[in-house]
Amino acid sequence: MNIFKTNYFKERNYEIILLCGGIALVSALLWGHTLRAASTDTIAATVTATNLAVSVSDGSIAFGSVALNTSTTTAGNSDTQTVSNDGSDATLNVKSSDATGGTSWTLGTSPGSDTFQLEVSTTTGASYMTFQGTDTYLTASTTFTSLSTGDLDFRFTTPTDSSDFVQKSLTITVQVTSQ
Amino acid sequence: MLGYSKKFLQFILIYTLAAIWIFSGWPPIWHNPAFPPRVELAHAAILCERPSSFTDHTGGNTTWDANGQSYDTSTCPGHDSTTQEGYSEYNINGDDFGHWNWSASSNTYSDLSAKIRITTSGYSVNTWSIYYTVNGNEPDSANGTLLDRETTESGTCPAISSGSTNGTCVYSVSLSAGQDFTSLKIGVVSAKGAKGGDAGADIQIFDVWTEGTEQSVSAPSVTTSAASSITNSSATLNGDVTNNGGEDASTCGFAWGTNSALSGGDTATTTDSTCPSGTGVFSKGLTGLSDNTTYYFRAYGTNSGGTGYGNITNFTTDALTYSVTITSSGTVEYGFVELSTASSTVGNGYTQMAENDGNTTEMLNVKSSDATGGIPWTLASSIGNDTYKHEFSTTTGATWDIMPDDTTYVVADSSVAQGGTVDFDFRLTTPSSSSDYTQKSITITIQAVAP
Repeated sequence: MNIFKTNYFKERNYEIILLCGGIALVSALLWGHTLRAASTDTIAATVTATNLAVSVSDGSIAFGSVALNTSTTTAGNSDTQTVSNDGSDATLNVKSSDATGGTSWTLGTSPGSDTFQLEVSTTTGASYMTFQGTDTYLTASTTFTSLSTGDLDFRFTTPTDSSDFVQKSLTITVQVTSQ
Repeated sequence: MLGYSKKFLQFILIYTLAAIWIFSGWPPIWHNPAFPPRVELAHAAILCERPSSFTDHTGGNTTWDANGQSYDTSTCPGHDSTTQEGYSEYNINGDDFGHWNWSASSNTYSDLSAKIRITTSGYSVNTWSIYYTVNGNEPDSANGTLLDRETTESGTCPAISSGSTNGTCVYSVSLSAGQDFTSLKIGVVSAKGAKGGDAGADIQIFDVWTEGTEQSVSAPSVTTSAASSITNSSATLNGDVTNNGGEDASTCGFAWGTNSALSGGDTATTTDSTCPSGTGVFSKGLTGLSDNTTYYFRAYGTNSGGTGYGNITNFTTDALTYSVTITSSGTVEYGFVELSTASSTVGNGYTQMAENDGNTTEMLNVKSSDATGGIPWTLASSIGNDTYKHEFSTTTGATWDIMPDDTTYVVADSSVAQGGTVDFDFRLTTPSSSSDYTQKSITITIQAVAP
């Protein structure tokens, strides 16, 4: 029996040819891919998002009843205010309003008649900066880092004399600006 | 026995006819000038060239008269000195001057000389000289160069010019092989009158001729030089005729193809129409070649002696390379950008230029990475929490294309010619909210691929 004349051989031979052709095709594709490999170059980009956001906790100070021409501070008690920079690096500023309620007290750089003095400390009372006026921000920090917090203490000095003795309210505004 | 002999004779006949055909050189069906070879026979012979005309500058008695005799063109007079051919008289009288001219020769010589046979007799006082020129000038005393006496065939002859000796001598001068015969002139000048009153027998010019050994023309010696100016689709083939074989090549060219034997169906032949004069290089530019392909070639040159071939050598065309280079700074600084705000490079000096420094036309794609540094920002088609958008423009901001994610290349230019450039501007939109505000780094990738 001549196996070369069998259908079996013919079929196997056909499969072998297909297999060789497939190998050649894959090789050609790989070879072509190698020859035509892409080239790249890159560009380095940088960006920094900015967002000015600040919050204060707990946002409420009760100096209580204070004798005339007397100072009281939040340092050392539970009214220390924690300021959070919820945005990008910023400068922290603070200002105060006059004290309202009855006969208003005016913010001054030193106590006087119906004039009170307010100071702020970022060093837990080790040193204070005096508010100059209601329209003037004090710079508490020029490097208020993004997503960081800082403590502010306030020292309030009552007027030397007062037209009345009702409770006074004042608003302290905390501001962040771009560095 | 007789049958065997008949078959044997048939065998011999068939193969003889085949051999004759093979070596006949026709037809060149294989596109291979090397086969079938053409067999050339070498030959060498002494050839003579006689002047074609005589120019009499002074008239009167200066005449050239063949006296009815004809030249024997089968041999040179110098090789048959017993025969005086073309017997003539050059009757010198006063300041006579005349010269012989040659027509162009169809022969080439490996050596060449110009000769003149003269018989002098019965001089009293005379002065004569034989000059030649090869530059077309008149062969007089001002322009010409004196011939030397080559042989004395009888009597006594002066070395050159003048004298009252009697004899028959041959004067000659060696010329350059391949001399241009149209500019060769031999002249006889008399500066003084000849012997008294006899103007008929002063000098007998028996013959004037040139002779030389015919150069045996052989096929030029040709070498194949390395190909030059190779690109992905073109190259220049170079050859060198190092010896013209005695005759300048009339056809120079190259056989080339992708078959290392320069035969078969994939072989083409191109010829260069310009052959060097004498020896020298020649070349032929090829275009339309396939990239990253090895081509084989060899130079050839053909003259009447046959065709000479250089060795087969090869070159490989360049592979197609797609390459891009950022020729600008390669950096973009968006700086501080508020949330939900777009910032672009248009007009701020950060426009980037990409150059196709590959060797063919290519397509440029671009993609962007996520932004890293602190809490990463994810690249997306629209902004969100810690998600930013990045776009590019090749139209200086007129239109923008979004890079949708950090893996997808976006086509920036589908066809950038070799050496071409594309300007890229980028626009980044910061997230609507960010987990941090640290500086983010982004990698923009420009990709070159086949169009």
